[in-house]
Amino acid sequence: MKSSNLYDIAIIGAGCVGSAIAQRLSKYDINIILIEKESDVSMGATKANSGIIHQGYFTTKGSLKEKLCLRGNDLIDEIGPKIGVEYERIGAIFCATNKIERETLESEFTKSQNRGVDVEIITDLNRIHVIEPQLNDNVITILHFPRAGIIIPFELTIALAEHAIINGCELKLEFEVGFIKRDTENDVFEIRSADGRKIKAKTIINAAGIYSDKIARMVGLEDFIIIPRRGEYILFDKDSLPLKKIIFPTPTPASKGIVISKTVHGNFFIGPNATEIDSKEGINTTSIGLNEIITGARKIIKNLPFKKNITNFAGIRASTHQHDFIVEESSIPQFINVAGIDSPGLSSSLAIAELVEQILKKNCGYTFIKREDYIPTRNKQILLSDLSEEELAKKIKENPQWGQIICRCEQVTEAEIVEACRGPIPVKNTDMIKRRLRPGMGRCQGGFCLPKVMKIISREQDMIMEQVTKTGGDSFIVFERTKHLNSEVIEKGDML
Amino acid sequence: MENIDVVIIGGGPAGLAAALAAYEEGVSVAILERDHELGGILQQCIHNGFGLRYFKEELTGPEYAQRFINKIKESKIKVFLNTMVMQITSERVITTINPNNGVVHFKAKSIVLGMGCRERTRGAINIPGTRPAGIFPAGQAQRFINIEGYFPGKRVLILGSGDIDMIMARRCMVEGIKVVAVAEVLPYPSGLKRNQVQCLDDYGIPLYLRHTIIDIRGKERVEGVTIAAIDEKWRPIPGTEKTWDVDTILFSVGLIPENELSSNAGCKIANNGGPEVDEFLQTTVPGIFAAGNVLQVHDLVDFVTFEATRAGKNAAKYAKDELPIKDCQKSVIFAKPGSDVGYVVPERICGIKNSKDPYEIEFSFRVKNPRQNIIAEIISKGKIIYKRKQKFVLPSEMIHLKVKLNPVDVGEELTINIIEQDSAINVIEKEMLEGS
Repeated sequence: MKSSNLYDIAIIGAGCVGSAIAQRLSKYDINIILIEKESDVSMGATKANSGIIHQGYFTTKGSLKEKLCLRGNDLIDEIGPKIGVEYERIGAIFCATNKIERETLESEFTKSQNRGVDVEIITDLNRIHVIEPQLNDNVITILHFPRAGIIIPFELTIALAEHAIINGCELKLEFEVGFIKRDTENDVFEIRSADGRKIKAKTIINAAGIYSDKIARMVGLEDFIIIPRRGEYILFDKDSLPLKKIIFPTPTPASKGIVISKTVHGNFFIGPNATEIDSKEGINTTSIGLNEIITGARKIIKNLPFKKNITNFAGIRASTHQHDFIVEESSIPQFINVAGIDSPGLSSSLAIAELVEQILKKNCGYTFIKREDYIPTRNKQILLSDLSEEELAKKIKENPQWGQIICRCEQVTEAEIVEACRGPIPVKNTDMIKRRLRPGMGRCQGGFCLPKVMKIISREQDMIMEQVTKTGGDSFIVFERTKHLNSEVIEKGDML
Repeated sequence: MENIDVVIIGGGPAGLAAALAAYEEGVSVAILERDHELGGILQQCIHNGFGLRYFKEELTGPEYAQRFINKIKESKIKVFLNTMVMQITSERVITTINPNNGVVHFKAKSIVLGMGCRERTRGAINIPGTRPAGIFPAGQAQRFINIEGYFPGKRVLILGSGDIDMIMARRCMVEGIKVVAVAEVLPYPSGLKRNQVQCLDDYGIPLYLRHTIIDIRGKERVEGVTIAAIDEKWRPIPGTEKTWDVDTILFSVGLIPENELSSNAGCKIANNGGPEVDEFLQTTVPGIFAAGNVLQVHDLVDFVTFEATRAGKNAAKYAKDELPIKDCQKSVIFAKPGSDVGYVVPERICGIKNSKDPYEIEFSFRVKNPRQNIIAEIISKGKIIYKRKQKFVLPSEMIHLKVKLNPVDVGEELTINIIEQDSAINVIEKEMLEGS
């Protein structure tokens, strides 16, 4: 079937939602293809995201957001360990600094109890500061959700996509959908890339995030538009602030406000603000935006260690005027929209996949049969930090690349980078390595390791150094050689 | 476990000088170096200007390093290359990994930290804009051109006017890379005057002082950049924007001593980012010494060599149990930066109280503002106990004070001040600098 490029299901968009759907469906005996316009999975809204597993708070009663967020929060315990992704339920707190805010929190407390979630409201000032010593003294009440947690969004997405690939799902990167033709005679869609490649599929799942309205319009659907809303963040060095909780201010109808949270890797961040912008590609940070989040964070916590910030970045939320997720078969048969997935989209992604599976069964005529060769788990790559000294010594003996540290800040060895290059999603640029193993994500931001990482990619993927990009496309890092030297592919066994 | 008298962490200029100085004291010495060769960052500094103070002649970086490397080769100093130090304990046990030997432990009688520094990142100064390829720390671009042999770009704007920025501006021009401008947020260049003349003026590269980047364009690779003048509160001034189409931005916005290992070993880290040391360059952990850019970011490598020579010698004496004050915790007096002084090294002095004779100490520090006709004074117990006139001082230049103090004049602490003879400090500039 694949030889004729005909698939049962084509999922457009390999963010956390598209990848979760692929992972869920990959256990069945069907042909699936996951299509992504960028050079890696998780490159849109997923990439620059707060990375919080929410607990249904501040969602509208009866909304899909409420239902899927709560279900998604539970599903992470079922799926996370199977696919080797780390997360931590450190708990989230919402902080009130005045009477009006306190009333907002009290009403949310009642709503959350009615939802049946674990929640506690705390007014004892001593207890508040024991729960989170970094809070400002003007915080008078907190609402504590102990089952909220933190996860790295791209680690989740890479794990989901890789697990799908291991189970036969095909991943097509750098395939930007330019045109979709409905062949009503044969009941298939023909999906064409901008550069003329073709894929045929019986069913399309539109999980194209910020571009989901554009994809929908390709089949004539105009029932929603995506309003890009930018969120900017500032990231701080590891251990620069000993945070215990995910900290929110009291939300307003417009936004959950500036979050202050640590990450699974021990860094912490502040952000995001929320700015409606015209461009779907507007992932630039701005002076105004950065100041806005600094001011926001200072309202809630005492000490912001400014000398310790290492980078800032921005992401785009794929919001709609509907204010709720759209997960449904559209008026076009076999075309399912999964759109408007803004916060709590990451938390809900696993539940969205479950709902899509139900829609496929109920509305699209799929009777899923589990594949016999299904591999239920994906092993997390072994990292230097997982090894005891004895284990490391043994590994270096077997493979000296384990003894060659490439990234000093995050302590990543050559062996780990080589293994990532050879993973289910072949690594062809330096940002892909960064998202998988973190070299370049530490306090020097790649100052020392970038040339070395480029050389490993050059060697493993048989590319000349000038072809190695930062993040695909034309994002070349170096141009030609100086002194009219010849281009080179780093030879196997070359010392770095 | 390998037992060594003095272990040197890092084979850059500090490590090389410390190793040779320790070796001359007759102890066993080992250098642990993470790269595949000795010399550290000097190997990519192929410009000249090194060695005027130490060798009284002008050398390139690799030549300067080679003089020390040759001496090391003639000695019995053990050199471990491709060796990454993973951990140092306060008991001076060092864990390393190496592709050939795996995990190796060293037990040292004393240690000299010589890990150098790293470049501050773009994020550390919150430059807004997109994040495409083509934005390089100046030192990394230097590595691409001088070591790897690749063009990191063809048209460049440089943010920052430190020495490395200006040297890279010239390097780019020589290599055929067009440098459109250098922008600097401060009202004066932050590197040495000689570099401004030789690297910018001589090549006709415009320097925009009190300017910063307000936007970077380009999704995949840098396509353009906009700078603007800033007011006294560091806000961009509308109407002063200048835009260029460039494919590359180099920036250097300062260097940070690399002290993760020191910190994990228990060394107290001072405000300037280096470990707090006494007059023997010993950190707060007995037997662990520090020198070079890991201790304080230097202006000239020659001073790194001088400082590391002292540290190496003291570390060897410690190993031989000959250091006059072995325990740095007792009867310490503290040296503090006072008016217009950024930091002071050493921060603690432990030998003066028990000394009967005038006690010699070598202070080094940097001023916060460029000034003329100043007095550097040391104050203790409310009295001036030392003063020296100086015609010019610049934040880019380290000041060294070798002083002999009378123990009876010194109280629990002493303060180093820079005071001006005539005019008051330019208040606005002071606020700007503190705001940075």
